[in-house]
Amino acid sequence: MNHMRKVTLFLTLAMVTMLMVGGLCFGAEKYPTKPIQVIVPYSAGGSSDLLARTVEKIWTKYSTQPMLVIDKPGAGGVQGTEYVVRAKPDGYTVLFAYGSGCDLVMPHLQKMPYDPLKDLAPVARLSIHSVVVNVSGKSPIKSMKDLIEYANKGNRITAAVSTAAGAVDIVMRAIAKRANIPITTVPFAGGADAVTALAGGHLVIGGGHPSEVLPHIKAGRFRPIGVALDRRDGTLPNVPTLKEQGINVATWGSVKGVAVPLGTPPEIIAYLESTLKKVCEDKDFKKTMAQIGQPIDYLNTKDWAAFMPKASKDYGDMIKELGIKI
Amino acid sequence: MKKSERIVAIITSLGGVWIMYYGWHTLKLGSIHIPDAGLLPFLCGVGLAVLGVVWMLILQWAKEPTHEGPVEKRLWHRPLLSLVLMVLYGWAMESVGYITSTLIFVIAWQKIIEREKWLKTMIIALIGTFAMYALFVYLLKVPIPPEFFAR
Amino acid sequence: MDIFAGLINGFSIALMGTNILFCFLGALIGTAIGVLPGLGPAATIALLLPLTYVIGSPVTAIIMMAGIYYGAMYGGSTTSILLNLPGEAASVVTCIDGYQMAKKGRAGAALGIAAIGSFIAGTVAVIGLTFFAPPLAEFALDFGPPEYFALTTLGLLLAVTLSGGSITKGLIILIVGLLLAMVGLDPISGKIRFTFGSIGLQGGFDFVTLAMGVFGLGEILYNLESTMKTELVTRKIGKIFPTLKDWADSKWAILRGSVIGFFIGIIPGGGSVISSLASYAIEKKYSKHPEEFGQGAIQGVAGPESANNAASSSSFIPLLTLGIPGNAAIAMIFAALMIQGITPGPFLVAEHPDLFWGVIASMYIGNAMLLVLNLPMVGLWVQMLRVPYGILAPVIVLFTTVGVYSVQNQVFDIYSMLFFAALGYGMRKLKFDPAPLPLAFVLGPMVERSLRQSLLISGGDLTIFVTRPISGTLIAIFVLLIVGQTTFFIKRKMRGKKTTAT
Repeated sequence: MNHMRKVTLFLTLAMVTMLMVGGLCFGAEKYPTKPIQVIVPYSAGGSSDLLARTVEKIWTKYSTQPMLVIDKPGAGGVQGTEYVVRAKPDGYTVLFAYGSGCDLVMPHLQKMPYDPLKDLAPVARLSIHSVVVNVSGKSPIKSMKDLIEYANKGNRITAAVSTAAGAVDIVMRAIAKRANIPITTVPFAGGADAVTALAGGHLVIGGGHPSEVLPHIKAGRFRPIGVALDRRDGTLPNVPTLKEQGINVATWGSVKGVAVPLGTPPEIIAYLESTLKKVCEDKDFKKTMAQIGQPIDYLNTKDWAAFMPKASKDYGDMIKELGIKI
Repeated sequence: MKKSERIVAIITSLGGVWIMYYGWHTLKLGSIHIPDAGLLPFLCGVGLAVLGVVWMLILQWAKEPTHEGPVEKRLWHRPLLSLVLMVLYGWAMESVGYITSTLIFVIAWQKIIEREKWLKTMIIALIGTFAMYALFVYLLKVPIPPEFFAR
Repeated sequence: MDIFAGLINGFSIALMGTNILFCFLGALIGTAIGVLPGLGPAATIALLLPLTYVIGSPVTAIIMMAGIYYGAMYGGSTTSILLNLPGEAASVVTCIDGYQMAKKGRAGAALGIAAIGSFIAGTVAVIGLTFFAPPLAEFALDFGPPEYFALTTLGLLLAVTLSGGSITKGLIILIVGLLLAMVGLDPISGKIRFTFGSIGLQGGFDFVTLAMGVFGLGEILYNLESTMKTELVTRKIGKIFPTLKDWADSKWAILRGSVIGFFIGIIPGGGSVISSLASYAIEKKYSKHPEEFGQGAIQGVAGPESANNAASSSSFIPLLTLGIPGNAAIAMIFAALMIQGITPGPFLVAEHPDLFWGVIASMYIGNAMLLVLNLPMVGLWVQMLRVPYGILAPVIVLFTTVGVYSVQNQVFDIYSMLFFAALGYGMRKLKFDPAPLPLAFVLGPMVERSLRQSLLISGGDLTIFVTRPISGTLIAIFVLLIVGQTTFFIKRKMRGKKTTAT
């Protein structure tokens, strides 16, 4: 009797496993043979999540298998990224938004459980979310020059930033240093909160990525006065850069690229790279990206691999210069 | 009952003192005009330390409550065992996958906590696991950790 | 466009076959995930987002998503009442009195009043949304850090009065709640607090893990103590529907809950969790029989359940009129709109009137559907109490585990839920009332953040809290409450002394 129960147990276990495996089908077919898990280390509804879902929508046009977007937020992106670092390098676990704050900024400020530059294999860059400096639509300030004059008249300048020692905070502190005006940065609990506070006119200036502030710029609630990039942002072509206005501040903002665990076969990386390239050149994709306020800044695997260490060094230098510590 | 309450009250006070030190020394208080990360933890620490002492004083003064009605027999080992089981389940979910770990968890619960017969245990485990899988994975598409044997 | 013309246009869209179908689907899915503990509307909308690419029409997609969101508020009360297990974060306080009602055999009445209250509140909020959306949205923007500080401090004061039993223990739990919320990254200084080097803790605890652990699993652990074979905790089922007296007792609670929920829902960051907690605190404060709270007072179910529904509808106001997503679930709907190529904001009514009015009209229909869907279900849900506890308990564990996991897709959250389960068990053993814990946990970080942000904005000038109209008024109420409470307390003491003296 006892023996029979063991057999039943074994059989049921086997059956259940079969059920799982059934959908995945073994064989020597070419990658991909099952849906690709895309890990976004930030919360659902944010700009990284939005980018991943926009790619997901177009992806099926060029690939036989769909993408499956999974948000794993926590610890400012570290938890989700670590999950990919430790995942099996078979091409079915892919990291999106590689190049954000937790890869370029955080390593200069705290100990990381992995090396963001060495423990991941880059695939391609998709977009750069620059930092845009805004004032309230009702504000008399129209440019950076006005802002400096406003400050020199003895007014206090408060700046809404998404989080302490984040990409936006760094830009604001750099402006304060290079333009030699005092700016008090006020950190909020994320980009949306900072944007809401500026929309209410509770602060003088605020920073945000174009995707966060575009609806408010369109509504006239915000006026963009400068872009902290080394060139103009594709989504806001009429807004001059800070450098154009004589303030030598340019950062990489938040870079959104794709990476896979180290050790992923090169042919899989090549497949992902070429498919992403096709997605980036797609007409519908371009249209949606323009609507959500995210520029397309595609880089192939080789250039992207060279870009990351450089961008990280740029951030490291700036953090050292500004003396930011946590 | 009073003894355990007294121990917890002491722990509360000591914890409060430690939090005060942590807030003051590690996090820094800042000033009343521009508070730093440690100010509110420090104040909370003060609160806990004081409340712990107050609690002890109340216990000192209060009369031992007289028991009303028959005392119910309570077993402390079952909650403890089930908590251990749940921790193991969480760990197993990640390492061996959802289906296997769920099946084993339900079997273990029925055998260890409820002391059910094997037949009933197996029926509950199989139906339970299957229903969970159908609901969460098939219908709601929750991205649970993948099965170990299918990876 | 005139509001009435818009609404008529909206109904003509919402009443189209596919839209009605998807409105129903949304309400159904919403109720289901509301009943399932842990699984929340934000995660569900994220999971179902790919479906919207297939649906094509943005109106239909948003109608369904909105249905999921407010439908979840209907379903959330079910397990709270029957099993002391919050089905939704916003239904945590419903556990306190709802579960006591169920223990007394009044589960049906509690479930019934929750459904009716939800329907009334939902409808009240949609009417508000229809007629007053734009001016109220501007009002919401006036809430800056000083206003948040005043409002949340007022909330914390209410939390102190929430606790039944010993004041000392209530205050200890309040502080524990504040401290638990501090774990992780401090957004103002960027410092990491109370993590002991753990990366998992750096993100802080999620509210859902606390709710599930302290209330749901804590109760299971405590019940497991009782006998060798766990018996049914609640045998009595009683009448299925609320009586006329229940209705008379709770009609004002429902109306107050609707209004409170409506206004808190508009404020970005407010949302349904805070509104339900606030409603409970206010009901208890102004009840003629505050001692009944925690023992199965029907107002303690009717108020919060109405409030969270009103808030879920009114949180569409900042989204649709300003383009500001106030909470996680609304943020997902925001994302869905953006992917469809629609930018929510002040131009939405003019540029996409079909969407704006179609969604609003669908909310009237959805609320009616939910009432029809939920009332007959009461009889069915109550049968859940007949399931032997030996089977029910592990099944609850399975449900909460997946539910908690689904919030952030992290196994770490399962462990933190178990930590909270142990905490909840300990609290029950030592006769701590868990009521102040969730409120302190939710409000604590807001109090701290807004205090420090305000002082950064004012440059360390403390007068910022009293010179601004809204925060000044709130601070004045705060002071009045404290003064009133203290004089009341002293008077009672004095009278007490006199009676003992004579």
